[in-house]
Amino acid sequence: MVFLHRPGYRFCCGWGVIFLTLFFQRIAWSTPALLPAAEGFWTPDAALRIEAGALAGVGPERRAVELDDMDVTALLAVEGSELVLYPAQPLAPGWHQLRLVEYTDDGEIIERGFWRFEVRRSSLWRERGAEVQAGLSLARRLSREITPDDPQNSLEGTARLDGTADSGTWRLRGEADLVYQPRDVLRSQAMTPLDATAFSATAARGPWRFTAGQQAPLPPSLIAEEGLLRRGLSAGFERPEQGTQVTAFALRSQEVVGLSEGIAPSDASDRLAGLTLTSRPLISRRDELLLSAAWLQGRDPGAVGEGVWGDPDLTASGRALSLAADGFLWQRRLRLRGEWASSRYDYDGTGPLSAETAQAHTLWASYTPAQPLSLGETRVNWEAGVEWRRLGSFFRSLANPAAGADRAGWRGFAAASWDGFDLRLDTGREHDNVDSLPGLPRIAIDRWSAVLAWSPLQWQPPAWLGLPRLGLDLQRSGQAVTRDGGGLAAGALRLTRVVTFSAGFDYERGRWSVAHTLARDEDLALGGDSESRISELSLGLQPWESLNIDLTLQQERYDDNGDAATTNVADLNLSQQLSPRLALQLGHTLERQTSVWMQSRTTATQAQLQWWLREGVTVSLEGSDNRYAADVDQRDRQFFLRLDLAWP
Amino acid sequence: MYPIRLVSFPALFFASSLQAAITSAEVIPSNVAVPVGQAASASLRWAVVRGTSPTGLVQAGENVVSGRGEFRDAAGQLLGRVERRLQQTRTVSSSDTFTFRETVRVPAALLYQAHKAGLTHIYYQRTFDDDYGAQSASAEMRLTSAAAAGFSLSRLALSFEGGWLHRVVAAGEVLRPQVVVSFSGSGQFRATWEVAEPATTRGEPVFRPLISVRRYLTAGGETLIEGPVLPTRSKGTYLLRLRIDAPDVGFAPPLLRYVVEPAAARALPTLTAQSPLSGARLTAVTRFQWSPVAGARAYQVEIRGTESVTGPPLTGLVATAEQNHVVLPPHTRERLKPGRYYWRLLAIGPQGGVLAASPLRELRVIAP
Repeated sequence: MVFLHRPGYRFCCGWGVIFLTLFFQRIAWSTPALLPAAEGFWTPDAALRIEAGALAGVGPERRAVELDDMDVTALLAVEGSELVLYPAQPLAPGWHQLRLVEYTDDGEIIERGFWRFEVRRSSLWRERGAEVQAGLSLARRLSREITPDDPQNSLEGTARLDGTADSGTWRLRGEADLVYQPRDVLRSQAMTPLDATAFSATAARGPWRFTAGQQAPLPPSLIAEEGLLRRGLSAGFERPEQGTQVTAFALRSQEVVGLSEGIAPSDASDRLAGLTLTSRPLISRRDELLLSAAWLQGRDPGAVGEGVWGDPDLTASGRALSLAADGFLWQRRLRLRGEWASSRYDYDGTGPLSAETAQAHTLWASYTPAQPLSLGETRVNWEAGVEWRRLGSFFRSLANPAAGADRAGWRGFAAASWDGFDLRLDTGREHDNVDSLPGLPRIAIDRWSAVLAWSPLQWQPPAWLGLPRLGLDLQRSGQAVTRDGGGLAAGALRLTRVVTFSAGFDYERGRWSVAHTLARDEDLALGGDSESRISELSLGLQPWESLNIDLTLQQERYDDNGDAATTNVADLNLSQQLSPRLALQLGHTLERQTSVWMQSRTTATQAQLQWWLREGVTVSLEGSDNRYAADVDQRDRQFFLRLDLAWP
Repeated sequence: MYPIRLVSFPALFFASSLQAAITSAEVIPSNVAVPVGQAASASLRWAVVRGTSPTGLVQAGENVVSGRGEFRDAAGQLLGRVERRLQQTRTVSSSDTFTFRETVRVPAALLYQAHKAGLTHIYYQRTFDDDYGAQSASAEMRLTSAAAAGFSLSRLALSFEGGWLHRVVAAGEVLRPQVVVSFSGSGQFRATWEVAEPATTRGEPVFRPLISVRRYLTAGGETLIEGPVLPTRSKGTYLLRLRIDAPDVGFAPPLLRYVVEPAAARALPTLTAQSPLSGARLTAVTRFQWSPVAGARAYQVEIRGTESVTGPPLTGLVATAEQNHVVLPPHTRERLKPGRYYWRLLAIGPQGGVLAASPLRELRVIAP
């Protein structure tokens, strides 16, 4: 060891140690790599191989692998320095992602590798295929009571179609639900006996995307209902790396069912067209600012669509514009959102009435602390926020037909959770007649609510309690006239209070819950009040594997200025797997209504015995007994023998 | 609802009572408040008295008819019509009262037009005639704001979750309806979700109640009401409706339809999940435990954001056939923000097919 004391040797050895250290560290922590597939692409059942270096040698408690956000560490095999994943199920064609993480000694999680890879059926097609699920049901009435319109035999069917073709350049996808239903009463008005209830087809190439059929191209805003789903056409352009998306659309104003209504919204009186734009201008902090704009115009033929009831005489037209910004500040602790919108709405479309122009704007802020508060030994997580909004008296948008207007005011909210308790508070004050319309009153509305829930976090309840959950919900809404008008003088107008208590208990083989709601509404201007008391019991049991029992009881007592009414509903369902091929289902419902005006009793009993003959073939015997007893008695019994065929 | 006694229409512009067999007509309530800018409904009860003279000098007809209703302003100018005929036929006897119930829908455009014309009231009038004489009565409609108006619905939109109006679903799939209610005024919304199941729709559809909805709606606006989990055990066509008891709407409720498709295979056997219990909170030690399934190659714990099992799960974990319990690792728990989730277990066979599945259970995540 003497030579180490010589300066020259010391110099060389020092650099040698550094070199060797770096060399072995490089071996140990060389960047893991996903090894390419032998065919040049991954097939659905291919194994995934990661060259993990030293990470292959550490125990599974030190590293983990996720496939499409699912932890698959347990399926990993170690072959030398490689981690090999044999997925439990074939991977669907398309893009997937794989992540390798390491747990350090101090508990930190470090991502060691992240890969996106493509699964293809062949070198030419990433994906190409069609799936059809079809079923046919034949039924024969066994009971003798046949009304003239009821068929002795009936036939109905369904098919779900799903097709995909993806060459890597063009991506085509289509899906549709087909229904065969020859009876008018069982299908929508516009449908033919064999029809598609809903469908959509999408073609994409590069950043361009075209869609036909049911779609929801509008982001939620003051001018568009959240998730507004309509049939129509749209074309979009997307640059994900720049966070920019532009979509032009033409949709039906009223949603429709059935192909006979066509695909394109060709009827100008039932069309909604517009443009949306979203952008994330902060490239390096994409999630911290979202700018969006939407513009639309069209005409509404009134509430004539499927599932809608409303003003049948409406033939409105209009247009609307929305500009919004949504962003985070202060290390995402403070969230700010603002939106300005304008609408021009003509109540009678091309009629003599002039259009009404109105504005709306909203500002919303919420704060979440970086560190929770400490309360003794427990920590309190909390957040709070405030919203201010003003919706003009005639602010209306064709894409948000249900939305209320004519409101101005603020709302504050807060939420906290600690040691098994969750508390939410909400309060606000608004008024209507925002634009001070002459002759109309102004009503101030004060609201507050408090919701408290508890379930044990640390405390281990005794077994007979299962997992208990308790809840208390308090709501209060007061209204007062602050400006005379419409026959109302200034003063208190109305007070509504609701209290709900609930308790639920879950067990390994069952659950039960109770709830009681007391609501009281007082008309402070004209006098009179109403009160409602609702009690509910729900029970679900699985005494053994093959038997399920569900019971729901609901009772309501309603008193409206002395007119009392009681409604009782009981619903019992039982399903039993008698053998691997034989299943029984029973259901019984009772509803009884009692008031000074009337008494009625409805009972409905249903039973079904199902025999699974072979793959795709089922025979069932089913019957129902329904009775309605009031001023007149009605009874209906029906029994059917049914054959179901399913493919594939 | 206003406790109104009869207030005869002030100017009696439209009345004709000369020697009429119909001696009076009145409407209750005679005064309702309707919102400017949105449609409204008003429930009216018309009471028409037919009188006869013992001497027979005044004759009366058997049919009492009102051909249509009319909206007018205080000066009698026509604003709009309701082409609905009210008619009752009864043998002529002594004095007799005919009662007609009507729920009249007042169009939004008409109310807007009246407001723009500077009106504070409009009138809904009907004339009842028995061919021997006629009498008219009118209900006064006060124009006011949506919050101060009488309790009525202006729009109702039923759909399944996601906005779909018709669904084809697999047996056992979780399906919920929802309704968006636009309303004016304040009051208790009373309705019942009802369904007609394949055991009746193959013949005469018979609706059975599922659950009642009772909710106080206040000061006008809109609200979303979620419905119950719908029955999807029997294959075939189902009809769904929301029967509305209050406020009076005077219409047959809109229907939705859904079909449970026949399945090629038997329903998946149940995989028994032993823990955690439904509604449990996810912690670092929450143990997902199950009973083994013969022939399983692997088990998959799926965590989803909704009660739907279609589409890929949010996250989860795959375990080997030898395992019967797992604890979610930190990097998987990290993916779950505070909120409510649903989880289930799948047993995967050697070919990758699903051998058995557990029912969905609720799982809650709160901030650490």
